[in-house]
Amino acid sequence: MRLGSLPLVLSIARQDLRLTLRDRSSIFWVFIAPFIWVFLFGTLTRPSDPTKTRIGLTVLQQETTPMAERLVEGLRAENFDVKTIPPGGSVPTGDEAPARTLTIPAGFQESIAQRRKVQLDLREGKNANPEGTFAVQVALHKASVRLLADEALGGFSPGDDTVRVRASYAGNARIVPSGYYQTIPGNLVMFVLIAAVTYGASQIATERKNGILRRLSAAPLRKSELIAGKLLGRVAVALVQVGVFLLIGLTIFRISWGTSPAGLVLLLAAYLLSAAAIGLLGGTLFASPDAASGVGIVVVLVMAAMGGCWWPAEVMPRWLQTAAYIFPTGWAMNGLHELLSWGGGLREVGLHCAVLALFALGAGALAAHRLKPVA
Amino acid sequence: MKSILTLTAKDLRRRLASPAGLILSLTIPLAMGGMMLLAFGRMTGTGQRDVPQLRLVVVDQDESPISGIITGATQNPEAAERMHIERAASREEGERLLRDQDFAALLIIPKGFGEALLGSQQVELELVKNPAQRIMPVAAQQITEVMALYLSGAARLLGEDGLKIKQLFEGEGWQDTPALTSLVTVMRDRITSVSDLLFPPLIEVGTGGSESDEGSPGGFNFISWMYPGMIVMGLMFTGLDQMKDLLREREAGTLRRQLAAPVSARHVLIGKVLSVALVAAIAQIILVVIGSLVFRVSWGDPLALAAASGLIVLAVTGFAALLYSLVRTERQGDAFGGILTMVMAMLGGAFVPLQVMPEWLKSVSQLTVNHWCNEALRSLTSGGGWSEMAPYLGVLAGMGVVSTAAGVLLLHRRHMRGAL
Repeated sequence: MRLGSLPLVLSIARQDLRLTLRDRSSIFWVFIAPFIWVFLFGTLTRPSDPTKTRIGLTVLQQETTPMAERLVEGLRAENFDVKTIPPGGSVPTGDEAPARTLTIPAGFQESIAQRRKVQLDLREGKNANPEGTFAVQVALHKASVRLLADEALGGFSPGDDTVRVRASYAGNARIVPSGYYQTIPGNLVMFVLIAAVTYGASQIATERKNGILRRLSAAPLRKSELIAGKLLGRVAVALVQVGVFLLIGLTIFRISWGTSPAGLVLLLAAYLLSAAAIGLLGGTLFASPDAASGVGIVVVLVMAAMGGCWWPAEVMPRWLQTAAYIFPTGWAMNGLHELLSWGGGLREVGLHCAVLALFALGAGALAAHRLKPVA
Repeated sequence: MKSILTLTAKDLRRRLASPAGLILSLTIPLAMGGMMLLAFGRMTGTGQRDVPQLRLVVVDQDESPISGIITGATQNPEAAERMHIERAASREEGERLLRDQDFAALLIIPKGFGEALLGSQQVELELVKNPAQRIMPVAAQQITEVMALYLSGAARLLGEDGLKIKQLFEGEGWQDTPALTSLVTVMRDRITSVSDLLFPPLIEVGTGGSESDEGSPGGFNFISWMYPGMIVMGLMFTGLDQMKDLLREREAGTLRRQLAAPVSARHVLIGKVLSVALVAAIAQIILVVIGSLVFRVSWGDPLALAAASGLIVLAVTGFAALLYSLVRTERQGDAFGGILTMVMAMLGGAFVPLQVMPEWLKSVSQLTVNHWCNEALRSLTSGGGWSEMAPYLGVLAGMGVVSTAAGVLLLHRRHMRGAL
């Protein structure tokens, strides 16, 4: 790029930023919607580590023998919020229905004394949190084995355990990506790409359709400089968006963005560039603005889901976790987890930045090749 | 009436001749549903969630037969399916694997672990969890605690004889046949005395299913819960995209030209709204069929499904008519329509179960069309019938009739003012 054409390039970028910020719907999608999403999903997916929080369990006791009581005590010792219903009582239904109900059947103690199999019935309420249910299943297994071992060996309390487990988190930051620590990075990555691909791509397609790009090509600019101006425009929009995310994350949601400002800036810069280049490429692939933004949003939603923006990537099948690295969203999310959860720095996100820069170069080069000012 | 049907048929033909908008409206929710299915459904064919494999790195600093029991846990085929254990030579290598290869946790078996266990001395397993993961490290901790419980039980069972076994592991005492025989006898007796209680555990836990799903095995079905929310979102997009056509016709002047025809303006608008409803109904049929074939959703009673679908289409059409009677330009319609659809989908419980919402949000949720549509369809997919669905249908009918009538009236007024 020539130094003399820099003012023109910047002028194109400024104009693109101005156009985007003037559009009321883009203001919503760029600046308001992300925070509604962050607030709602962040509130609803707040930390739920079952080893730290108390999970609700209703126990329907069809008998109140010492052994049934010991089992209930065993569950209480596992840090569950246990509510018991005595024999003859019934489990609430409708809105009052518990998340999980465990039934200790009548004849429980008698069956064990006579060495007969006994079955406890665990029922999951409609829409119960699956993580909580898994924790209940594990705890129930532990409590029942302890009860049986106690019976068999004569005293088997937790204090006498020979083997204990000391658990801790690795890394320097030790911030688990749940609640706002999942939704803020996830929505940042997704909404930056949505803005770039929908508004960016449809803007390019519209300008080509309306002949604005053709008129711009009459300016004393090389094609590469026109591309640079358009790219910078998308980067500027994304930059404003990211700035708002960082600020709101710090002040309203009070999250820590890690201990490496340099690493964070470099990672986000590389991601912004790749998102802007992909948006530009989208604009060159479709003749109609509607098609550019319509197909763009579908592609972004797939990239966001696979990249781990919607849910923790760990819950996906292994092949899908690996496939996430085909997309910039996967690298961006992984890089943000490196910084926020592991407490990593510039060195730890170096590879992420390099790969994202490659995405930017590749998409930018392809867009430059395909961009034709005339519709 | 005949003129309305003629207008509707003509409009429907025109809309179906260029189905790009319809296809796109359906693609977004299907793409979202598809991603959720891939992530959580695991293509089990039943829509049931499958637990992801637990990935664990183990550093065995002890290298004893006892620690070998832990590191070799995945020799059991069932355990191997649920868990992947990667061995690392050192703590540093384990930490590197944990970070670079996204393992859930690193388990460190300390030196002297086996000896301490056999000597009934307290010993600690160290579990280092991956901070960049939320669910699997917790599962790793719970499973390690269960394993620790079993090992503690085994240590208790061995008692002081654990030291004799330790000597045997070290190659000593094999020549003392009487002592060896006595040890084997004692061990056999002890194991026999507890085996009827513990091997396998006498207490079993049955998971009988969800409260609302008596007798059906497996409980909560994620896909059956998720898919109705996606359907309703798709129908909202479809209704809005099709209703936008009114403003396009205004731009082209074709609506005004129709006033010159021997049909009333009201008939023209009713025909337009009816054709939108028919496209939404076609979309609903497509989504229901895809739900059955791809997502394996069971819709229950076909008549109940037809009734719910009809009222959902009415409510969605009413919402779209009302919105387009209030916006002035296509751009405004796109903006407000998109915003309202996504916000209502979220508040209506398309992505998150109502049960986990705070009380105030549950109340807000009931103000959305999506809430009633989602709940009506979910009552069917969870095995409910007419009685479970009736309250939702009643509200949907009310919402649909009021919003459609209001939308048509407002559109008619605008049309007569020359604003449409």
